[in-house]
Amino acid sequence: MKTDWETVYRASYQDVVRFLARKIWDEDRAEELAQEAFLRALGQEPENPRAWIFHVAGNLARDEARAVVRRKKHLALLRTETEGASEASPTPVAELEAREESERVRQALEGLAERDRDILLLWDAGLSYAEIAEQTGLAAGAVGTTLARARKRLVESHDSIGGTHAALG
Amino acid sequence: MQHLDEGTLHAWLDRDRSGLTSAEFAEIAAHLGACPACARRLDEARSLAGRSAAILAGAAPSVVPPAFSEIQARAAGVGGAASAPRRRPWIPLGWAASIALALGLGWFGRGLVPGGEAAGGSGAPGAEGARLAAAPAESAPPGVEIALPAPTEPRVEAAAPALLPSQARVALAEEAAAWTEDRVADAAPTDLTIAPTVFDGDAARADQGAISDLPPPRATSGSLALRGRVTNPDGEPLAAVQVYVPGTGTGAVTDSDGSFALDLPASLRDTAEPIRLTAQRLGYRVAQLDLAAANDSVWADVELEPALLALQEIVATGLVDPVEGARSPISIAPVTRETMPVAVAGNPVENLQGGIADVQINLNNGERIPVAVSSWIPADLDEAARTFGAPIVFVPDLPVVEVEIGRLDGARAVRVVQEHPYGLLTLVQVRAAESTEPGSAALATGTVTLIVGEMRITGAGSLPADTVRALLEHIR
Repeated sequence: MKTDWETVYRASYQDVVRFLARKIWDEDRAEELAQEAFLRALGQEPENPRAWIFHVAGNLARDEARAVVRRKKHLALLRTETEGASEASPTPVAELEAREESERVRQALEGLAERDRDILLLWDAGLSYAEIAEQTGLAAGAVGTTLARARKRLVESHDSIGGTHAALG
Repeated sequence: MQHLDEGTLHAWLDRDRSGLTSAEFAEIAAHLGACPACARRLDEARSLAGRSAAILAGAAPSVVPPAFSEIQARAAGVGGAASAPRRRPWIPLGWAASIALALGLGWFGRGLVPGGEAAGGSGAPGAEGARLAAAPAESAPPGVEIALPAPTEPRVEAAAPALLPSQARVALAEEAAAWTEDRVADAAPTDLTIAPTVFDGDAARADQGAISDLPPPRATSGSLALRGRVTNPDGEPLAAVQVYVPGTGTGAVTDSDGSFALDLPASLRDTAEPIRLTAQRLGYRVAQLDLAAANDSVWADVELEPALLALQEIVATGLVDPVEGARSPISIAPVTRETMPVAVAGNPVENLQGGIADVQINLNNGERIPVAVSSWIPADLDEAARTFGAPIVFVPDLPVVEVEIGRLDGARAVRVVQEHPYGLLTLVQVRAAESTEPGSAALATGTVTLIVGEMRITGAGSLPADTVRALLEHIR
């Protein structure tokens, strides 16, 4: 059966971008890599297309991370976008909070072990336990336990960073 | 008592994609229904999962995918502008929404943690036990003693013919289907609705086609087939009874006919030791039967005697946040000795008065109470809590059918009805001590009553005083 990549693309593109964006912390680049992953997919006939895409995306993200280190390029996670900002801008306070929160999430995620981070992001992207296991090399039965630990660490790490969220909570 | 480990709890929460088999699903469900400690830990796990999802959402960009044709064009090597990847449009509002979500969930989660710790006490389980643990009979909670009817010796009757292993599958699938319709949609084809009402070989064979998508049963060839039926003293079938043989890791839950099917290791047949079958269900005394395994199949008729629950098995809720003094709307904890400091005298439930605050309601999909309900319930219950120390309500993972606050002879009563797969399950707390209406038939003491299954209270708006009195009688 020929893979219907268009359907996979429609169903998964956003998830792939979100997955990548929180691995490399550059949203534009995340889009580029997501598109690159789908480009590579065309013509391929993997068993599980969606899992395959995430596998490729994960590899691209790793390559990207190495390249970034080489270039010593500091990528700002949060940028003030000039274009389009006026038409749908939330209040300055909300924008600031969003930025702070995103930075906290980034710090929290980066404080995790790579496997924990990967498993969280793959879970967030909607992959099944079996797919996560395949992707991370974990035993299928260990995904729940690892995910439980990763969730706990993320929450603890996030809360320990502090900020407006905790104060409001 | 062997508890569910963290991984199992999270797999349960993620059950739409964690690949739990129907058998695992049914066994976890049964354990959660019978083990307040695990139910509370499930709640903590749910909070954790919700919070981590919210945190991740806090850094998830909004994405507008370019048309697939752009990707195809680039793949085809079409030059010019089309070959450049499209950039993501910046959508600030998407961020704002994510943050709102994170804050909202964080607030819920925060309430849960301190409440759970404060109320957890000795109820906090430390053991990371086997995945499919069932509570051993010896684990009846210590502490409060409630007079119970003398145990009835379960009957063991003649052996029945060996049955196809597939019946175990059918029974478990039925169980799973009863717990959630969503699940069965994933796990089995729609024609699974054929009920295995009788353990009949032909029927089982006929069903085999329909259940071919289900995971294979645990049983392997050369196993010892243990089949049976669980009833109450009136001979009525009891569903949702956990039956298991300690030490074998083998267990099942009875279906709507009270039937169960266990496939035990064949080695059990060859030993001189009897097979010890344990059957338990919330609201009934645990039954243990020693069965002699003479051949390849054993039949067991089990009768369970109703029992009122010991108070530790009641999951009370909601405490005041020890740090901020804020009421935590969502928490769940077993009632422990710590929450009942007074020596038990007379009706033990009196000691709960004033010790419980607030209410928790969880739905079986991990969501909190529906907006339409929550919009009025917390306020009312808060008032109720201030007035008389409050209602308790629980049972995780069951949908709430109705919640109402009525009056009983001048005192307030809270009633919550949740839909149990095997009948309505009703929890009632009434405190009538404040009733001062002259000439009223008010009760002098408060009561907390849990009503399971057959003992069902119906009636709208308030609880009839004679009903409460009858319940009090039953407790005593």
